[in-house]
Order: sequence, then structure tokens, then C-alpha cells
Amino acid sequence: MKRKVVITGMGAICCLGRGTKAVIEATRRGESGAQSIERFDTSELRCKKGCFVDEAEFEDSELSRGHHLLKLVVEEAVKDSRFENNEEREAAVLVGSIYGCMESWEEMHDAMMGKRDEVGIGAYDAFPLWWLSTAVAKTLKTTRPVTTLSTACSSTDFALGTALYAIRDCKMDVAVVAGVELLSRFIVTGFDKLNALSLTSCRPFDKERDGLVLGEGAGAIILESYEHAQKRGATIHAELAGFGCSFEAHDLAAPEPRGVKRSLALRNALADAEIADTEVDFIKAHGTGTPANDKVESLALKRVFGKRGTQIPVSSFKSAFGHTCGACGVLEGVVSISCIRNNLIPPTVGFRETESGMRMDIVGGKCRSHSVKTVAQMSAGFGGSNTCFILREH
Amino acid sequence: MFHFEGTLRMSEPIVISGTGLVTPVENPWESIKQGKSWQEKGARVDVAAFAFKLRKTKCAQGIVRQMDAVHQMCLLACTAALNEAKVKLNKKVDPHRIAIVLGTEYGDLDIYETFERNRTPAAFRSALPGTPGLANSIALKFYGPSTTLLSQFSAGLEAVVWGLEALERGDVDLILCGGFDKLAPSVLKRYELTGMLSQKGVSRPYDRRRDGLLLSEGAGIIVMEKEFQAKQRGVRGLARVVGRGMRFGNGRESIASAMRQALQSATLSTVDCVFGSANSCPKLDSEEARAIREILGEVPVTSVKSVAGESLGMGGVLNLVSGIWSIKEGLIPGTINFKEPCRDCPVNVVAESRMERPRSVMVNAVGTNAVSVVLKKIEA
Repeated sequence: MKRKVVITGMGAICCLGRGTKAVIEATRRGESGAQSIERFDTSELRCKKGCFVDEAEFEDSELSRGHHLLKLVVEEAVKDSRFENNEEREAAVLVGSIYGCMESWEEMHDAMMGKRDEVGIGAYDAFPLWWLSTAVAKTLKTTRPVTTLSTACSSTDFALGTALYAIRDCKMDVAVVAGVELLSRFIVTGFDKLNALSLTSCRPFDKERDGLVLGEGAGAIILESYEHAQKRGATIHAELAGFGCSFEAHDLAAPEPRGVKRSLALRNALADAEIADTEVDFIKAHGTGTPANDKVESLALKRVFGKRGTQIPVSSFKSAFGHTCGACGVLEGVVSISCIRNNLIPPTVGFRETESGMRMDIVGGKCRSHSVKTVAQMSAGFGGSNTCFILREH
Repeated sequence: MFHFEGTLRMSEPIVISGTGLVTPVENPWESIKQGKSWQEKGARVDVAAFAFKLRKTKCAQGIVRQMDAVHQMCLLACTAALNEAKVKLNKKVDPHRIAIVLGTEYGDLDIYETFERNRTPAAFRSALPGTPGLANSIALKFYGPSTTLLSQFSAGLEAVVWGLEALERGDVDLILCGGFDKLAPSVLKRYELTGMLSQKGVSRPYDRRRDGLLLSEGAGIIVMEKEFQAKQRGVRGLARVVGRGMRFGNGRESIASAMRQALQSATLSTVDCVFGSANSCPKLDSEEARAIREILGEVPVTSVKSVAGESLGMGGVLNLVSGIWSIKEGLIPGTINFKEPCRDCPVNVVAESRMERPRSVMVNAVGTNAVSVVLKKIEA
């Protein structure tokens, strides 16, 4: 019998606000945090929008932006978990990201190219991705191994799955999984050049969808073995019941178009959670808002759920706080968990109707009351690292 | 990759059945044995000189044509390791049960710099830390659970520990693990400014006069699998992996704890020699040396980074592969430039290469995490 693993702490920050409460409530209200980009020059870009964390959040911090956000969410998650014996010091740490503190690298590279004056060592220090995990480990004062991993946009989903397996295998009792992504000129320009960005708004699954809107933010989720949580009387948010993944090895960016491999991640997750597809009440889609992704995702869901798939509520939170790349697993996971706790599904902002041939029950308009005991959360990374994890009511 | 107590819970022995290294020198083991510093060759990999070999492989040529130097470097190492392990990409091998896990410190920053200059979609599409691993998966058509790990100095050996975990859990039948790094200008710039480089231009691990590291680059891959499976292909294996340990941090306590875990999981009380992680950094070398002293006393210690320099993502794997050759040839390579022992590095350093038949070797990689892996000779 598999050792049960539960979620006992959460932290979040994004364009909609700081703290899980602010983020969840704003997402439920159907707000979109997309705004005009002011942080850097967009004159050469087609897309001028992004979902930025309030500048005020970064004032008074001497840390780099990435570290600052991670510190906030990890501290919130630890406080939420109410550890009484510094259990976070025995936690393994996994951090996921794609670009980390890219603006630090930009500053350094600009200086190398003579585009600006030299900046201090602080800027150069911050950019390696592993530096982020070191910062988290020091916040927690942990001695356990610290792992930074990157599987593109499914990084923190993959990290959650890895931690789930490790706790089940009795390798540890507590794991802190965190992720962060920041918006910088490099990232926005890059996605713009790929023609992946929306020129209007992010409208996942809508027939008029035209691309994604990037977002920045950070999230942290604390996983704990059920015995350990129960023994210390922890408040349990939900169970992380299963994880599955699949790797397409198809193309560096484009998804495999028929959704076969994507559906395999979902099947593997259901098998790992030992549940039938009929038990899923809500699907938190990857739903980036690009024509390609949303089509492939709809095909994948159809492969697994068949006709019933047209009746399972689906929503994409990227419509609210943008595509936060490597951090989306934990950040969106926090909102997914809230769906179970309150039986409320936040809407896919901007969604009106799907294209013909794509029959899905997308939650649009307003937040929906719905009995949610089991959630399937989907993610897919550039190059086809697909993940799905199953959350279950405890 | 996580803290574990007790023995390595393997149902059967795990072996390394193939290795592949792409380095600044043509024959890395010869250079290490003979004590010929890689700095003499400029410590850079001339990928273009070897890349033509990829056209002769069974790798998917479509992606090979799109690859840049970093991806090619990794693929050359992968194909060399697979060849040595006699893994033929055919129906007998289930590609869904083979994964690639790479460790790196900076990924492919060359392509990031290229994007900054030319702003092409192709460059940006490759500007993720996981792209080299992904490009290799596409080329080799492996669909197992693959990822990229990022750490300072220890990433390559962390990938090996990850691989062990994946084999233990039964997620994979065969795993390619290793590490890579290429010295893009922004990598060099960062190191210049952190003050970690040797001003005297010498790599002298554990020596009193050490004043910083010298950088080099490359890609190193091993193939790991269960021993019985290797035997089915007529492959004996190069060495057994019998223990591993890992802790956060690069201080003496963390390193000692990782080493202790590795010994415990191998059910050994000592080893015949240590391939240390020391890279000529004043503090790091001392922390590691004191940990080795505490856990293993007078066991002989050597650092191949005296010859190779600090090759970042590849470093831990180069160490591991050197440990394998050491076992196979019955020779411990010397730590070149070691002439003046000092109190803060109280270890028994092997200064000159010598014939000695280590049956068990501990390999360290210390950076973001302290990682230790124990290898054992496969007895007839």
C-alpha cells in the first residue's frame, strides 16, 4: 500500500497579489493581472503585455528579485504549515524554474557588451538557477539535499512528483517544493519572436485565442507524509494522490500534435493514484491560450475521458495571472487545492466559446460552485515533458 | 538524491556499463595518469573537430543538424557511452524505459548570448537549461523520465545519484547520467568577478599555496543499469555502484555526512582511495580534506582537478570515470602541483601516479550539495 502524502503548507505571489488568500480570491473573481509592460523597452516587440508582480513588493529588499519572491512564498508556506519543531530544517528542497534571475544575467551581459556600466558582483551572483535553491535552503536552514531542476514549463510539477515518490519511499517526511519565474526583456522578447504571445489577451480554449501572456510569480507547497502530519496535528489542505509524466522527445518546442503522449501523462497519473478517470471532478488545464497547445490538450483529454470529458469542468488559471513558466506547477497548484477545499472553480478569464469540434466544459465568466473531490492538474513543457498530478480531498 | 539511511536498497547490483567523455584533450585518462594539465591545450573543447562523427550514428539526423556545439558535445558523450555499453537502439531496448539526466552549472549560455545578438526564434527555442538533454533525447529517441539538474560543481554527480534512485524505483531500465558545461563568455565573466579563479594560473588541490581554481569544460556521461541486464548483452560492466550520500552545503559537516551515508549504504567502513572534489579553492579544499580525515583517516586521496581543472557540470562525472579507470587499471593518478602539504588539508595526498589496486573508491563532488558515490571492482 502506498504511503499517503499530503499538503500542509502553501505560499504564493503573483500579479494578483501577495499570499495564497489574495491570489485565490482574485482568481475566483475572474480578474486578469495583465498590464502594459513598463519595466523595459517594448518598442521592438509585437506584444506589450505581461503579468507583473507589483513593483512595491521588491522595494526595501536587498535580495535579487527571484530570491526575494522565493523567500516570501517559502516563509508563508512554513508559517502555514505551523511546524513547531523546526521540521523545515529536515525538509528536502526542490526548486523549479526555467530562467531564474535572467535580468541579473542581462545586466551583466549588457555590461560585457558595453551597453551599460559595470554592475556590482551582486548582479552576477544572482543569475545561476542553483543560486535560487541555495537561497531557499538558507531561508529554511535545511541540511537535506537541495535540488534545482528544469523541465521547462513542467518544472515544478515534476518537482512535486519527485518529492511525492521520495516521501512515499520513506526517504524523508517533509519536502518543500518551490518555483519562481521573473519577467525580463530576454524572456518576453524571446516568446515574442516565437510568435507565441497574444496581441489581445490570454483566452485559453476560446476559438479566438491568439497566444499566451507571460506572468511572473512564485509559489511554494509543503508536502508531508500523512503519518508525520497526523502525529503533529497539522492542518491538511489536500492529498497529493498521484503523479504521472510522459516525454515526447518530438521537437524542441512544438507539442506532438495528436495529444497521444500528453494523454499518457494523465493516464499514468490516474494509475499512480489508483483511481478511475470517472473520479476526476475538475481538470486544471495547462491551457496556455496558444492555438497549438489548447488543441493538443483537448485531444489528450478526449483520449482519456471520452464522452464524459465534455462534461468535466476545465479551467486555466493562466488567463488570470499569466503563464509563469517554471513556477506554474506550484502557483497554479495552490489555486487547484483551493478548489477542493471550497468546492469553487475559478473561471478561465476571457473565455467565450470553443471552436467547433472541441467540445469541453470550460468554466467561463464566473467562478462556479461544484463539488470537487479530485483534481487532475496538467502541465506541459517545451519539448514535450508532460506532467499530471492528482489532488484529492483529505 | 534525497537523504537516506541504511543500505542501498537495490534488489540487485547496479553497474556502470559505459562511459563517454568529451574533453579539451583527446585522451583524458592518459593526461590524468601522466599528469599533463589540460591548460596546456587551452582547456576548451573543439567540438567542431568531432561533430562529424554524429553523422555516422543512428541518431535522428534532423535534430543533429539543428544542434549547436553544446548539444553535440553531450550527444558525442552519450553515443560513446552507449557504444561502450553495447546498447543498440533496436527493439530489444524499450526506449520508454531509458532516460537522460544531465547536471550542469550554467546550461548552454552560448545560445543565450547568440539570442541577445541576433534575436532569432531558433536561438530562443534552445535557450533553456534543459535543451541539451532534450535535444539528446530527440536524437536518441529515448522517452523515459528525463530532467536537467542545476548546481555549482556537484551537478554531474547529483545526476548520477538521481539515476540510481530512478533505477531503484523501477522507473527506468537504463539511464544515461552525467554533466556538461561550456565556458561561454558570461560564465567566464561571472567567475572572474567572484574572485574564485587562481591568480597564479595553477591548479594545486590541497596544497598550501593554492589560490583558486582553473576552469575547463566538457561533457561526461555514464550508462547505469542492473548488472544482470548488462550481462544479457554480453557486457560485464566497468564497476559496481554500491553506495551514495548527499547533503546540502559545502562545509566539513555536510561533506562528512554525505561520505558517511555513502559508506553506510555500501555497508563498508572504509574504501581504498578517494577521488576528491578539491579544485584548488582555499576554503573548499580544506573543508573537504578535513571531512575526509574525519571519516576515512589516512586513506589515500587524489584530485584529478589538478590536471583537468574545474570542469563544472562535468567535474563530478570526470571524477567518477577516473575512479572507474583507477579500479580497472590498478593505478591511482597523482595530484599534480601538490608539493607543500598544510595543516588545513590534513589528508594523505597521492602526489605521483602509482600502481595500487583499489577495489573500492569513493568519489566526491562538493558544491551546492556535497555528494559521495562509492564504486567497487567487479570481481571475477
